[in-house]
Amino acid sequence: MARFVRPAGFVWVPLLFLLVAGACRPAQAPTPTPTPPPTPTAPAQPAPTPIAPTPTPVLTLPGLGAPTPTPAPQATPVGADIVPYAQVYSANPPKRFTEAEVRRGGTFVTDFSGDPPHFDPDLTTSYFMLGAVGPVYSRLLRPVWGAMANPYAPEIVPDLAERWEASSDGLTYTFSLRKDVTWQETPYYDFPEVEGKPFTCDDARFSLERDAKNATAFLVASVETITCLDAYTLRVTLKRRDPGFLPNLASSYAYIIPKALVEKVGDLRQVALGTGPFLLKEYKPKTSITYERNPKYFVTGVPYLDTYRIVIIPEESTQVAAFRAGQIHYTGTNLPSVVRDILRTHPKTVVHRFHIPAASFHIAFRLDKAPWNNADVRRAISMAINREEMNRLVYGGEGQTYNIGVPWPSAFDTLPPPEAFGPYYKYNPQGAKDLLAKAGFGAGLTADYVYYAYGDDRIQQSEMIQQYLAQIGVKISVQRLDYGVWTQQYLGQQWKDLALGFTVPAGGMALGYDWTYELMKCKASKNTWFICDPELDALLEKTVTETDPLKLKQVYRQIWEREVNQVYRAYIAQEVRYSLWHPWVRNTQGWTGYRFDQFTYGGSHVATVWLDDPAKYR
Amino acid sequence: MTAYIVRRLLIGVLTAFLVALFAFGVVRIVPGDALMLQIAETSPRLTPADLARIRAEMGLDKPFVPQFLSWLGGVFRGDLGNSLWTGRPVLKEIARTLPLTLELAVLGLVVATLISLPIGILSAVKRNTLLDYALRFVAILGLSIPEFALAIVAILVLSLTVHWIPPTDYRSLVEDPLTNLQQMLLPALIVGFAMSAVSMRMTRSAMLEVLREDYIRTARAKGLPDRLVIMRHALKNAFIPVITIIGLQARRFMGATVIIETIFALPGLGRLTLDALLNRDFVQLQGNLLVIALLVVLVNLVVDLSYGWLNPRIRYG
Repeated sequence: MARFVRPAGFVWVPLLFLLVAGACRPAQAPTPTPTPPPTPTAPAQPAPTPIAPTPTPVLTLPGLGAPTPTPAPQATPVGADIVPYAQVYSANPPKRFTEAEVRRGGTFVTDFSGDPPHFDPDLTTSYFMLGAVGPVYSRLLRPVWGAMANPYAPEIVPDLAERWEASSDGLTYTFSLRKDVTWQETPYYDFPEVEGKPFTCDDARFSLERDAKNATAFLVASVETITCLDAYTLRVTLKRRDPGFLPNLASSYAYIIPKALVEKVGDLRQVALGTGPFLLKEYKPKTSITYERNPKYFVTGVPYLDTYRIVIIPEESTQVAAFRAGQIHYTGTNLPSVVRDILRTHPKTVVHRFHIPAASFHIAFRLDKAPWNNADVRRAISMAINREEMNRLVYGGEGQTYNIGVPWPSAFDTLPPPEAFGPYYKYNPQGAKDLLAKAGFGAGLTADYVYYAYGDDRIQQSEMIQQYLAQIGVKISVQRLDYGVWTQQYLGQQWKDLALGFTVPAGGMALGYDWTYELMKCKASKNTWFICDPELDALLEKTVTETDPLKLKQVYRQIWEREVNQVYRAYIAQEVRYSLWHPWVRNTQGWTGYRFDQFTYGGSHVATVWLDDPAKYR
Repeated sequence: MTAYIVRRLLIGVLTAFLVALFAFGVVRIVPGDALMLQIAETSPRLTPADLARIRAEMGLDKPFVPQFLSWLGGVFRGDLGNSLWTGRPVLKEIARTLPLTLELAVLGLVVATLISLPIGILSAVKRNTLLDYALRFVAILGLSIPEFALAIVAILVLSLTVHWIPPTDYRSLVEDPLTNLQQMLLPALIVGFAMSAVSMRMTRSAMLEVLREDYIRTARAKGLPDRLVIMRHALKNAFIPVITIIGLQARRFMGATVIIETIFALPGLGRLTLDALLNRDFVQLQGNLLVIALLVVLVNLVVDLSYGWLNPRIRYG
C-alpha cells in the first residue's frame, strides 16, 4: 500500500500547486492579437442605410434601469453595437464605429449546448448543424449582417448571386453569380480537385437539385426546372408563385456546396469546405469547433477575427459559469434571474433583450377531432388562461403576455395592445364556463395533455394550465414526455387531445408567409394541428397572389384576426430571449428569433464581429 | 488459476452479450427515432414519403431480428456499426471517449482511496471519539449529496468567487497535461469524494473487526509499534471487503460519469452514452453498453484476482 501512496503524493503535490496557481490567475478571455489590416481595405458590405426602427413595446427589467436609447445615426458607419429593434442594457453605451476603429484578429468564443450530428447541410436540419457549417458556406442570397439588421423585416442581400431578376409573373428567377469566388483552400483537407477552384453555376444547380432529394427538399418544393444558362447565370422556374422562394434561398438551410467534392466523397458528413468567411480548422466532438479566417473570402476586408470557436457545453449553469469566467464571450438565456445574477458580478455585460415577432408556445388542440373542432370549446380553454398571472409567476413579469403565432410585423406597425386580442384572450373563467355550456359541455370534460419540458418554465406553465382548466370543469391528465417520445407524438401528429405545442416557421426569412401559409393551410405538411378552414385558406392564397404591400398587410391582418377569433391554437404567456456578451465584443447581434443568421442558426454574420481591447472596458 | 480466469472471462463475455441483447431490445421499445429528433429542432417541411425514404437510408425501417443478427455479426468482426446520429464508426467514438473516462476513473479512485483509507483507519482506531463522529459525519455527507448537486455548487461557487472554472475546451493528457489536470481535478475530487464515503465506512468496519482478532493482540503483545500493527497486520486483512466494494463501485462510477462529464463538458464515454440515449442513437448506445459491461466484468475479475495477492490462503477453483 505504501508503495502505491508515495508516488501519487509526489505527483500530486506539485500538480496541485500548479492547478491552484492556474485557478488564482485573474479571469481573462482570449485576448485578440492584432494583425495588420489587409489592403486595399473596402467595406465588408454596402454601408447600411439607417433604418427607421420599428417601435417595440417598452418594458423594463427590474433592477437594471431603462434600456440604453438607440444612438442617432452618424455619417457612414460600417456597423454598430446595437440592434435598434431590441432593448439593450449596458453599462457601456453602444457606439457606432468606422472601419478604421476596427481591431482585427483575436479569437471569439461562443457556446453550443450540443454537437452537430454531422456537417452535411442537406442531410439534416438540426440547428447545431446549421450553426456549425454557417461560417464555412455561402448562399445565393443572405440576410443583412450585423447590428443594423431588422429582424422584423429581414432584408435580403446578394451573397453568391450578385443580382437576380424575377419575371413579371413571378415564375422565373434569373441569378447572376459572382465570378470572383473560389472554393476554400485549407491545410486541413486534401481535395485538389476542389480547393482553390472557381465556384460556378454548376455548383449552384447541383446544390439545389441535391436539396430536392434530401431533408432540405422544402427549399425547392415549388421549383420546376433549374438551368445554367452559362457558367455564371442560373435560371430557376417555379410551378407556382412562391413568396417563400427567395427568402428560403437566403435562409441558413440553403448553403451552396461544391459539386466536385460530393462526387468525390459521397456526402459531406465529415467535411465542410465552402466559400464562406471561415475555414473549418478542427472539430473535436463534444468539445469544440474551431474555425480560422478564410484569407480569400470574396467579401473584401472581412472576417475581422482570426479565429472563431464554438465550445460545446451541455449544461446551462456551466455555460453561465464559463461566461463569468471569461472562457466564452457570448451566451444566451430565457431567464431574467440569470441576467440579473450575471450583472451582479459582471455589470458591464451587454444584455440584449428581444421579443420574437410571433409567439411559439401554445395549447395545441387536435382540430380534426371533437370536441376540439368546436371553436367555442377552444375559446373557453383560452379564456380560462390567466396570461398576466402566468407571466408574473413564471417570468417575473418580464415575458410576453400577449402574442400569437401570426407575426405582428406582417399585419401591424407595432405589437398590438392587449385589447386587440379580443375577448377570447382575456382571462374570464365565467365566460369560459358559459361557452362550454353553449357547446354542450356544461358538465365539464376530460382530456389528455402532453408536453416536453424544454425548460422549467414549461413545467410551471403546464401545472398552471392544469389548474386554470380545472376551474372551468376541464380536467386534464398531464403527461410529461421524454424528448424522443415528444417529437414522435407532436411532430408525428400522434397526440390525443391537447399538447403544449410550439410553432417553428418554415424557412424563417419570410415572416408572414413562413409562419402562416406553410403552417396553417389545410393539409400543409407543417400543419401539425390539422387546421382546415376554407375561409382561412382563401386568405392564405391571397398572401401568395397579392403583390401590393399595403393590401398584403391587410390580408395578414385578417389572418391575424381570424387566428385570435377562432383560437386554432391558444397562445400562452412566454419568455423573451436574452443574449449576453462581454462589452469588448463589437458588432455582434443578439438572438433575433428565426432570422436564421445568428450563431445558433448559421452564423455567417460572425464575419463582421470584432474584438476590442478588453482593458478598455475594465 | 488459469482455468479460473478463462472461466470468468467466458462468463464475462456471456454477461456482456446478454447486456447487449437487453440493450438492443429495450432501446427499441422506447418510442421516437433518431430522424424525428434530428428534424425536431427546426421541423422543416418533410412529406411522409420524404420521412420514409430517409428512415430507410438510416436503416431504421428493418425488423428487429435482422437488425440484431446483422449487428451481432459485426461485433464478431470487430465492427460495432456506424452511429445513426453522426455516421461515424461506433468503435472509433468509443476509442475517442474511453481514455477520458478511464482517466477520470483512475483519478477518482486515487482521490477516493486517499480520502477513505486514512479516514477509515483513523475512525476505527479512534472509535467512538469526537474525531470518529466527525469523520463518520463526513462519510454520511458524501453518501447523501448527489454528485450532480456537488458539481453544480462547486462550479457556481468558483465562478462567483474567483471567476474561474475548469477550462471547458477539453484537452487530453497527451495534448496539454496542465490544462487536462485543471479540467480533471475538480470532477475527480467530486467523484472521489462520493465514492470514498462507502469505502471509508467499509474500511472502518473491517478494521474494527480485524483489530479485535487474536493475532492483532499478539502483535501488540510482541511490542510492535501501533503503526506497524495497523499497516502491516490489520490493514492488509481488512482490505478484502474494501477492495470488493471498490470493484462494485465501478458500476456506480459509470453512472456518475454521465452526470459529471455533462456538467463539466467533458467528452467522455458517459456523456457519449447519455447523448446516444437521448438521440435514440441505438447503434452507438448498444456499442457503449457492451463496452461498459465488459469493463465492469473486467474490473470485478481484477478485484477477484487481487484477493489471492492480499491473502495467499485464498485458492481459486
